[in-house]
Amino acid sequence: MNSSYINNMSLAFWAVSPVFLYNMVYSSNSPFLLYLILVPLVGALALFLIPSESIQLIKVVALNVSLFTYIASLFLWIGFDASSPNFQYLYQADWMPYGNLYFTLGIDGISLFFIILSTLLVPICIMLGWSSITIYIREYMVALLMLDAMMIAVFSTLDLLLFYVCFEAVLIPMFVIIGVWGSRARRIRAAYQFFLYTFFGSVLMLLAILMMYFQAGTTDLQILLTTEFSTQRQILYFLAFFASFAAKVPMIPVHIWLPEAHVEAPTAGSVLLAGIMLKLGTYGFLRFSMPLFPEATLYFTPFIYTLSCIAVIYASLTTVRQVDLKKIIAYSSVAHMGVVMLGLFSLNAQGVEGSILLMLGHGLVSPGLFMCVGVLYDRYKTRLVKYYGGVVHTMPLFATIFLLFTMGNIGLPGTSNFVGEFLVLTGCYQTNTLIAALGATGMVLGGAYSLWLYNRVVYGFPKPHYINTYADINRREFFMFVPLIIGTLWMGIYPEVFLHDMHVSVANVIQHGSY
Amino acid sequence: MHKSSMSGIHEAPLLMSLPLVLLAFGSIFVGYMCKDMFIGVGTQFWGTALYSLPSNTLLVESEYIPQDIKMIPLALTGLGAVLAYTLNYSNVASSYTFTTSYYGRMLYTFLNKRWLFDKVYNDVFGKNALSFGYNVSFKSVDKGVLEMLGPYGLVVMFKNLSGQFKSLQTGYVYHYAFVMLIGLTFMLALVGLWDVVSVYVDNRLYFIHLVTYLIIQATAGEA
Repeated sequence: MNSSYINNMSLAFWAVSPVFLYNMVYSSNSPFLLYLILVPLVGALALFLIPSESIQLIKVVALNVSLFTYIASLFLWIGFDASSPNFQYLYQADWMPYGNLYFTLGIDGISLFFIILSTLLVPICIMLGWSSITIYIREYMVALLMLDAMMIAVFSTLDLLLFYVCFEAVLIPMFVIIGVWGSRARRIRAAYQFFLYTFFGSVLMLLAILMMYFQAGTTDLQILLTTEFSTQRQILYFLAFFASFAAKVPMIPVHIWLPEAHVEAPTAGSVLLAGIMLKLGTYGFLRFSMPLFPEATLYFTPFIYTLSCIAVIYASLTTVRQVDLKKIIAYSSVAHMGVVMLGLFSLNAQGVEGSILLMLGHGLVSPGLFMCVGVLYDRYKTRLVKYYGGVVHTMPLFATIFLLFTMGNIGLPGTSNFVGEFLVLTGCYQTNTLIAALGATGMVLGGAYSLWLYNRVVYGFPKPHYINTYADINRREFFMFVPLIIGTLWMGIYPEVFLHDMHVSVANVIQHGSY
Repeated sequence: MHKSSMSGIHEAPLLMSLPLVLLAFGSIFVGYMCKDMFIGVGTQFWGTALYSLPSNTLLVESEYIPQDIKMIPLALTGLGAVLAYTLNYSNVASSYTFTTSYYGRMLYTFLNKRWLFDKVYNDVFGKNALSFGYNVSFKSVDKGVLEMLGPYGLVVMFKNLSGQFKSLQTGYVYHYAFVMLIGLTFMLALVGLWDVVSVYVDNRLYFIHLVTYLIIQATAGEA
């Protein structure tokens, strides 16, 4: 099958796609979210029908399906009603009706952008593996498309048990991606660690969900939000949920899987880990722990504050001394997620909106940095800082993009992370000045490690005895970076576009925690 | 610097010097020309941009301070210039002697190195932070305690335990006989001392303990 034929097919597909989209969104009572989950799954199934020799076709189909999912997810945003605190695009199907368990989907202003972020990152990941993945190409694409579907599901589900199922289901493709396409033999160990750390906590969450199910008779979030649990129960539930979400965030004593998994994962794995997986934990806190267990949330706020402060300072200081490019960015993610947790548990509108914005910003900047590392690794097969130097002389375009994401990671005004961190600190300051001050040191230390990293890699003299062939980023790599750059700057310069759709939903979550 | 680049040295062209001229003019004369605007009597120029305490809002007094106090900055500027001239031009020999003497050198280094602030920053904050980041947080905690209590410790524990269990399997008949004897003794003890042991063996009791605990926990808050 020649490539012009493939291109014509893609064009034809895109020519008719608006009709699909229009019908999906604007026909009355259409289960749009269900379609959105099914599209990548159907695409993954379709990939199995393509003979494994036609690698190019597999790649093109996977890319088109993921791009279609992305475009479709933007229609969610278009049709979204920002003035309503209710869940929208609701869809309910019988799952286990005899057990009063329903397959419930719906989104509000909080989950909307996480879905769009997920669907944005998947086509980028497919492009990341375009030439660097050489074995099991079809399986790679299938894993990514399944991950796409699972991520949409986990962010749009309104049923605790379904959330648990999707939360675990996300692990499986990720486990495979790290274990199969990782870089070294140590990847097996990293994949196990990633799986076990998340799984240990999740089992406790399952027990808590069962206990809630036997008390309330349902796991439907909208009904549970109207259920009052006793304070003792709330504390118990909160701890169980905490065990699951904290490992995912990751908070400080259970964070050591993250640098390990990032270092061993292929670039696409790192991008999705940093971009989406970490947000699952904080999203869980925001969606379930805080509105369902308000008293326990207040009870545990000092505890979470302490852990997050330790995370910010401790992880930043650890980051400074790392010598592996990916470990530097992984540890800096731990620090940034600490700031996100500070914002969430400030329990006011600024803090919570700031932490959502910081999650989104970090979901663009951190993948961007991992892709920068991936660009270097694809060329030179090493991630140790000491072999690099003077990259600006040989790869000026790359140096510019890397600078932009480094500045984003520091939280420079004009980038998405600045708005997020500023709002988080504003919110946190109203609750606890000392904690806000400690959290702000994270920004200073962020400047220290980010600038030092950039300085060591990009400036100085080239080291031709280590690296003596040079190539700047190519067209494919450039187009991978473009959406992330646009998003970072857009969110930094005019964040109100995003905040506008969050205000009502965030206020709704917060009022669940007030009396 | 290469000779070729030295041969190209020249004065700044007009395009470069014009802005410099403008800036130089401004830097000298702006203060004089805008004096009334900035610090004139009762000027509203700064608005609320410069905060002043409510108790200091009456600015009239500051307009009429004695003339000699107003002259202090000018006098000190002139003195500084004289001092600099004395030290660097007219009395070079004595200032050389001073800076090479023990205390003179200390003073000179102290002032020349910006009061040694960088040294303080480096020794007190920089080095400690860097050493903490590697020795404490990374090596001792992340790669030490957390790894030992977490994945690495588990692996080692399972390895050791399975090794110990494996060593029970020796292949000697008398070892097996010994194990059987222990088992038989244990069983006989269980049968013979059932009245004593049953309290600890009966698993229904554990269940009752657990349920009781849960009920106590569940009802404690509602009471």
